[in-house]
Amino acid sequence: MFYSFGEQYAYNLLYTVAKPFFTRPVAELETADFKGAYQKWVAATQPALPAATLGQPECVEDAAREAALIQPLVSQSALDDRAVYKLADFGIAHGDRSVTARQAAHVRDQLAAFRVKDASYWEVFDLYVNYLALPSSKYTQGGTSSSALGVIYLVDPDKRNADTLYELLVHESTHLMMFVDERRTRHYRSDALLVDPANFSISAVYERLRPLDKALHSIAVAAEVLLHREAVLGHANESTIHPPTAKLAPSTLRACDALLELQARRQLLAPRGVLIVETCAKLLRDIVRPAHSVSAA
Amino acid sequence: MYFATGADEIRQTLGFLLGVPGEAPEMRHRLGAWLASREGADVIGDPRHEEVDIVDDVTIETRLLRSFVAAPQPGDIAKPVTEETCAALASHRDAAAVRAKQERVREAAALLRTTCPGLGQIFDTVIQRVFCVEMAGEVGGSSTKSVGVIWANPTASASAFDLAEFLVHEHTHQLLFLDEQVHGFFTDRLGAETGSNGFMPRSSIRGARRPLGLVFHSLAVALELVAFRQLFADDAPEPKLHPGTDQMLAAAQETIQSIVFEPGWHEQFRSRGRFLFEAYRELWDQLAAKQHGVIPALLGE
Repeated sequence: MFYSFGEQYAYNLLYTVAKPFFTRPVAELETADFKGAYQKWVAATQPALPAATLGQPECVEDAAREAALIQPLVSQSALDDRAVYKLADFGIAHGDRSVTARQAAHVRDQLAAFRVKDASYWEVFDLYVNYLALPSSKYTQGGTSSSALGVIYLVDPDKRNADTLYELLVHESTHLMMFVDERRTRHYRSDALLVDPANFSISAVYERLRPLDKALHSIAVAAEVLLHREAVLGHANESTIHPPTAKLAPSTLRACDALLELQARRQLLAPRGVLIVETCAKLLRDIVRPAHSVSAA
Repeated sequence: MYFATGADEIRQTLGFLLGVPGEAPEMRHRLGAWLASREGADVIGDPRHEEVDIVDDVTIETRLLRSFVAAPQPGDIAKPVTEETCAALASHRDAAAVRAKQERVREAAALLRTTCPGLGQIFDTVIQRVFCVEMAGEVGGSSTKSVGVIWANPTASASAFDLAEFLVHEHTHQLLFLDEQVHGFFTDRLGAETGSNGFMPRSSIRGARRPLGLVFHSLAVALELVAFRQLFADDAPEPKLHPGTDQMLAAAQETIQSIVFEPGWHEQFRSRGRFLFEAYRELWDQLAAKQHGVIPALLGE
């Protein structure tokens, strides 16, 4: 949401949700004030999470803290559409902590390199992300949970190339910003209607019928990835986690159109949800439309 | 298809094929007669058998093996079966060895039926014959020219569990043959078969880029095998014929991704092909979440 809504939006959003935790006048606020207020807001909102105090994202090496951060992934939600979420047969291995330490060092090194490429974005990333947890789990590269604000889960980050890790972090941080955004302004008229398969819509990346919230998140994430490619990474980068732009841009636009079509018939999104889709669609049309195209009229 | 769509959907397809309701009686006999009318009575044999007929006749074996004579496909591992191979079969046949293999296939079919009776019923409806022909480097297979027939050549080390998996593997191919006959899967059938349209996703089991039709089969086979294997819970022996479950799930995930990351991928599928592809994506979700060492909540998009 950094590129789709702008840098100022990212700070405004944090200020709005964490306002009670700011201790200095607006004119005097510095980055550290935003981080501190956000961490206090997360601690107040989700007290079961370990309280974050560092000024930057912590790559978690401590096993107990990692376990506490993984706990929200076990809790189930009525909005989880897939059978996968109903089956809590875990067997997550965290045995060798030296592996975790090596992965944490790798992520820290990569983050340092990424910050050079796009300082403004990574400053916002550092605000929104409190923890980078490094669990072991098959068939995934990582994820986030609305039950763990400020937490990104990374799986085997040292096995990804730099562009893949970059896009993965953009992807996951966009989910985190969406979670915060939704805490400020609701995205849906009724959560109860989201679980009705009649209200499912097409997702942007994998083009599957998913509940509305998953489809909306996929649009926001895909748009952000494409805008980062446009601004920083380039469309011919080596990321393997998302499709090439030639596929991702049109499929994201199709997801926008499908969701807006559904909205025209069923009015499931709140105004903020509509604005997110319309904003992404507008920005993406600028990417897919050739710069030299001229209207036939 | 059994684990992706369920038995009723398969019976519906067979009903469409045969022009009768899906729940009609004597479906095995009807299908056998239908297959015999198209492939030859000498291929299908007597459709009044109540369950799969294990062939023990070199003349019939030669006839059935002839249906496997084909031009090589991109990514093929085994040497192609030739007319010369078929002609030489009678002179090389070791009757005792073949009979021992037939017995092992019988045990495997029984294991399939007891492990999953629903699958066993569909297996006994569709598969009319199994024949054993020994050939170096070849474990057997299915041919579109002899749907309803499986060629089995069990390796010495293959357990009954491995051979039951082999039957599930071939049965899946056969169900897909019949389903595609009824519904059609791909908008460009020739392109899906040969790769002539340039759409070449990654095959789950072979790990190579292959035409969509072949990749689609390999995706279905891999996931049907994992679903069958998960019925054994922790009692499944170490597989020797097919790859380990993690490897097959990871490869299937890669296959799915390699399909949906291509521009215009959905235009490759007709409605039924897309339906089955979505069914297999759902099945992958369910199977992956049951594996040890997986955090299901991290499997989402």
